[in-house]
Amino acid sequence: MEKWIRLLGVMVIVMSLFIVSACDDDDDTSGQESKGPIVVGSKIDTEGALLASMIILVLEENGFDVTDKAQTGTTAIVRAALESGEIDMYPEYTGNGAFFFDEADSDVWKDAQAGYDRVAELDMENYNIVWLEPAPANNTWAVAIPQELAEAENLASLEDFATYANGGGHVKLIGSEEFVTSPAALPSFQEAYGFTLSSDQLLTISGGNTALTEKAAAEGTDGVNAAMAYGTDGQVAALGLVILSDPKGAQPVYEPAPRVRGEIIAEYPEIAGIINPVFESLGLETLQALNAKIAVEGQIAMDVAEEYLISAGFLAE
Amino acid sequence: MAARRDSVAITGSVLGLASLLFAWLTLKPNRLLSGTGLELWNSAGWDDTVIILVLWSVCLGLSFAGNKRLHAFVLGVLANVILIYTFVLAGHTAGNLLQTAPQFARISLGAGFWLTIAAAYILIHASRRRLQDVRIWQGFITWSALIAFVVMLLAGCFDDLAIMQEYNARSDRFEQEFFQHIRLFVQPVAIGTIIGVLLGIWAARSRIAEHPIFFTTNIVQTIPGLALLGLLLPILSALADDYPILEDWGIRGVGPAPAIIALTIYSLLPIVRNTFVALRQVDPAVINAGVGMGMSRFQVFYSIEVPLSAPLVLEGIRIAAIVAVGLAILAALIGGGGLGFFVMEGFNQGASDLILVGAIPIVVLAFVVDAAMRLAGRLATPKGIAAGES
Repeated sequence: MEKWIRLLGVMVIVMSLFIVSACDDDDDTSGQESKGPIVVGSKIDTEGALLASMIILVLEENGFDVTDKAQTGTTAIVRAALESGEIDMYPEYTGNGAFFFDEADSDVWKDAQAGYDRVAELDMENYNIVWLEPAPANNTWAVAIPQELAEAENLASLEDFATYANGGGHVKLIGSEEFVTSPAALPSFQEAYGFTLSSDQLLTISGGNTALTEKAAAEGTDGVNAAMAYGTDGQVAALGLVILSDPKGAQPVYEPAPRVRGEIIAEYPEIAGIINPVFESLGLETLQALNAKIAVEGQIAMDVAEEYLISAGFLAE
Repeated sequence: MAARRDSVAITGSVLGLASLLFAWLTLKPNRLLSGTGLELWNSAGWDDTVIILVLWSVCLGLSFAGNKRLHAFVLGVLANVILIYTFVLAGHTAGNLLQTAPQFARISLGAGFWLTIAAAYILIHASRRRLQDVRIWQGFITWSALIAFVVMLLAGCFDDLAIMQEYNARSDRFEQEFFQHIRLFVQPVAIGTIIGVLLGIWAARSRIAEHPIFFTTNIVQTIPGLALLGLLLPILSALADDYPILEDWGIRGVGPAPAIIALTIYSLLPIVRNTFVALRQVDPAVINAGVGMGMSRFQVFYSIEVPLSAPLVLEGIRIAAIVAVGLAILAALIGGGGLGFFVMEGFNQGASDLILVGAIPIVVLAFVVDAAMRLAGRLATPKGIAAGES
């Protein structure tokens, strides 16, 4: 008898774990006569989550059944997921066309419209993927320096920075491997503005994480006083940094736009009309402010997206 | 008997006193910056600092003096008192600091706080050792602070701390990912148990099978987690392309499937090894006795080998489960969800408290799973063996 009680005890413990694991929270069957389902993914970063949330909310508002797969994975994983049909759309940057299609040397990427047209054309030809309208915000590579440094040495643009660096000023720039080596990034700045940073003046990290780089520059970790940044980063001001302007336009233009599977657009052409106005309303300062709410204030992307869409009139109530 | 020094308790008390020197809370202007550390007297005030100082000193005194059970009990109670006092103080002080701080400031827990907790539990551990024969006292000093903590947590006493603010902002997602994390370790361990026990039985019975089985499981165990995931992704993607039915079953290149497969593989070695050892260590004399009594092969297995090997097999499952709870953190990297999602998000945003929102529950989960499996092991140990052990 005792043996059976013990056995029962073991089974109860083991079964309870199973039952807990069987609790399926994502059985969200909305069940109405809605269109779809449409699977929306994104990259892991803040802005990706924000834009994906906006897409999800505005599609749901217009009667679509949407599956939220935001923050699907790294760029490579998200691209593969789109191309294999696992997700139906995700926000991508126009300038990335240079890397997808191996045309990094072309100058077409430095112009917003030309770059967009080129990548839309190439994606349509090769993968039957449609690019919807981009947001007029250039989320390109930039260099951010602490405010004290900018004020002390009077640095506002990369030209000033080049003069400062060439004049022997202390520079330690932290950036990702890609930023430091890719011809479109730091080398492009160095070529356009005529300065070169030696290896002691560079601190290279493996991921493209501007939160880390900017934090390092803000706190002067390891003597760092310049950081790789992205144009629409929201935390720059909160960290006491300023972004150096790029008057010579050395960088390719990276405007965010939804990258959608052709079959979805063919089946639901109205999607373009729903999403385009949203993206067109997102200017540089708007995106920076929204990103700041997520990064600095700690709100989640879905809430920030909802608040914005309501205030801009895309969402009811 | 002369008063014996309890060196573990002394260590705990000294550590507790030392913890006062470290930053207790960290005031950050926003959730991104590292902020400045505040010691106990700079944040909570000298009154509370002196109280805690006195409490730790009494603990130190008791560690030198007593070897009576009562002394151990008082030591344990004091440790709990210090813990509860620290918890209350942390929540309260955070609230006070936020009143005068800039709008998006955050209060994080500093090294001093964590050291206090560690020191207190070292004291509790030392006291527990001396209270083995009075289970009620032992239970009281083990659980009081924990229960008080849970009550305070649910009552919102810690809501002004950065960790809770991060959690509160995303509590729905947390619930979702928490259950996903449970799925991410229960399913692999379950599948791993079935496969592992079968492989273990086979290895124990057959000299020929023993070597290749252990060779394979040893080799895969040495592959680092992230590397194994990296290897699985293209393989599963290719398989899903060639055999679309796999996609319908949810097995594809991204999502939880590669993580579950990788975790199943990692669960195999502890389970296979323990099953193997458990079966091999059954005394052949006992089996002979059973055969002599007229038992069939199946009855020998069921009535002799299973009960005798059950404790060790459950131990192997316990180890596999704890490993899986920790490794499941990697699933978030490939879109598989789980608590690793918050670790990744916190890392990407540079918000250290968000990382803790993911990491601390994983630690707690590991402890809970460990305790549950130990209990299961104790229940499964046949009475005769248990009596022999204690």
